[in-house]
Formats: sequence, structure tokens, C-alpha cells
Amino acid sequence: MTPVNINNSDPEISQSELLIPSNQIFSSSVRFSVMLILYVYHTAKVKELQKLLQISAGKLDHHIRRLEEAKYIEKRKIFLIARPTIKIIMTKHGKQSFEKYLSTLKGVLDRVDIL
Amino acid sequence: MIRDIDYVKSFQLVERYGSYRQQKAWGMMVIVTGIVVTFLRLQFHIMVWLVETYQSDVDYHFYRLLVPIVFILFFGSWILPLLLTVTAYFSVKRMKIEGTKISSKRYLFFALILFCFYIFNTFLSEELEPLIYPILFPSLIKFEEGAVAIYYDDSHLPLEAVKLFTRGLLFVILYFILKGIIRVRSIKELLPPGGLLFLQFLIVTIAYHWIHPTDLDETFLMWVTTILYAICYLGSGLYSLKKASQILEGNE
Repeated sequence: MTPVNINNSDPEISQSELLIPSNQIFSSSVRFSVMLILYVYHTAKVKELQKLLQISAGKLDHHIRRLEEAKYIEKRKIFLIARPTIKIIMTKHGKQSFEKYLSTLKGVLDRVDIL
Repeated sequence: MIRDIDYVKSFQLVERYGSYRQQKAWGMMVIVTGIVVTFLRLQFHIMVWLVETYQSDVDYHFYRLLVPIVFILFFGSWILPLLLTVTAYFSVKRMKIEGTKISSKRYLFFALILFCFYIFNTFLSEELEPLIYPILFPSLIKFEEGAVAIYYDDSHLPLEAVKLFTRGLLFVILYFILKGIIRVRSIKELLPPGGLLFLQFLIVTIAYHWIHPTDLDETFLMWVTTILYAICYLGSGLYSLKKASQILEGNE
């Protein structure tokens, strides 16, 4: 494994804190992926996400509910010819939090030097 | 506790989702264009059939109903790419993911090319098209009273066939360019829908040039070419939608 050196210039921040960005909501692959997709493409349909992430409807619903509870996303029901479709969009609060999370990650990476 | 997040996989998923959306948008656009083209070609025949069948003032009422639909569809086929362009413009993100194909410039470039294609197609049909004939058929250019004149002589040249073929060929070339810009993965993927469209133009050209003046009456030929248009446009669009679905599910 490649050894890494963490350059911690701030003595008050521990090494573990540097590695773990503070937002626990995003500390799941599924939720991170959903937020990243919404961040890039604004909206996504639940069915599409289920196919893309290849997880069950129940599991995806659980993750979506967690993001919804944190007010990071909103569900919208759109009525098409055949049947209603559920679309999710990122809220302003969600966008700000995700940007903060990404910048924290970037900050962590900036402090890591591959030896 | 450090959770196991596969960031690389997440970025790959975003890339795949982008490919799916582009492929789906393309498929939808080709299908809508196909429906519009088919409808525009059929509306005259439907109208004639109705008038002949009912022999009454049904034509007047039908006109009142049909004309707005035709106009909506006609302008809709223009508004759709415009909407796509505007949506693409506002979808542009400041974020750029290194090492992936997602980039705002690429997406915007696609939208602009799409829009230019439609403008070019319009000009092509009316303004630029005559300029292509002298390149294909230099004998058409003649000097007359010190000025260059281009002759269109239906009795000597299969003008309609040439028009159809040049427009069709340019459409196929543009199709390949556009598809290449959207997703460059495999040339094989471009061949079935592109080949289908090319075949359609070829058959229509042959039908107009060789079969039309001799064996078939105009109405029958119109029906045949309309069905060909519908099959090829809808086939190409459905193929793109199927590919989009495969991309989403990762079964490419």
C-alpha cells in the first residue's frame, strides 16, 4: 500500500477529523452518489436512480427519506400520460451543505501528500 | 468510524447517468422529429381522403382543426431543440470532475451544435442547396450575358432525386458528427441508426428518380416514402432509447 503523509498545519484538528468530513448524512455511498447526481444534473427520477445504483426500491427509499429529513432534497410528483413519476430535486440548503462537504473533502486531499 | 464510500464509483455513476440522459434526449428528439415529419407528410393525404369520402363541408371544419395542429407541430419541432439548448445552458455547472467526461463545455458545445444543425438545415433547404448542385454536376453552370447562371432542367436531370440525396447525405453526416460529440465510445454504435437513415434516403431517392416517372402513381409513392420516413426515424429514436436504458442499467 502507498504510504501517505498527512500535513496537519492546524494543531487543533486531529488526524481522524481530517479524514472524516463532519456531515454524517453523506457518509454513505448511495446518499453521496444521489447528492452528486443531483448536484450535477439538478433533478433525477427515482426509478432511474434505482436502476443506476442497482439497489432495491426499499433501500433507495430509506436513503432518500434520510436526505429528505435533513431537508437536502425534495420529492416532486409529476403526472405523465401513463402513470405518475417521482422526481427528486436538490434544495438550496442541500446544495450549500454538499458544497461544504465537497470543499472539506478537497481540504483533506490538499493536506495529503503521496510519498 | 470511517465509512466505506467508493468515491470513484460515485463519479463513474454520474458520468453514466449523464450519458443516459444525453442518449435519451437524442432518442426523444429523433422520435419527435419523426412524428412531426410523418404528420406533415400525411396531413395532406388525410385531408384529401376526408374531403373525397364525405364530399361535404367537412373540409372547412377539418381545416379549422388541422391547421393549428400543423402549426403547433411545425413550430414545436423548432422549439424543442431551442428548449434543449436553453436547458443545457442552465444545466452547466461550475464543477468539473477531473478524469471523467463530464464537463460543462462539452455539454454546452453539444447544445450549440444541435441548434446550429437546425439553422443549417433550414438554410440548406432554401438557400444553400442550389450551391451544391454545381459541385456535383458542373455541367449545370453556364455563362449567360457575362453572369453565371445555374440551370435546373427537370427533363435532363433528376433534380428532385439530387435534392433529396444531398440533403439526406448531409443529414447523415451531421447525424454522425452529432452522435460522435455526444458519446464517442464505439463507431459500431453509430452504424445501425445512421445506416438506417442513410438507407431511407437512398430508397426515397431511388423511388423518386427511377420508379416514380414510370411505374408508380404519385400518391402511392408518397405513402411508401412516408412509411419509410416513419420507420427509419422512429426506429432510430427507439434504438437510442434502448441504448439509453442499457447505459442506465450498465448492460452495455
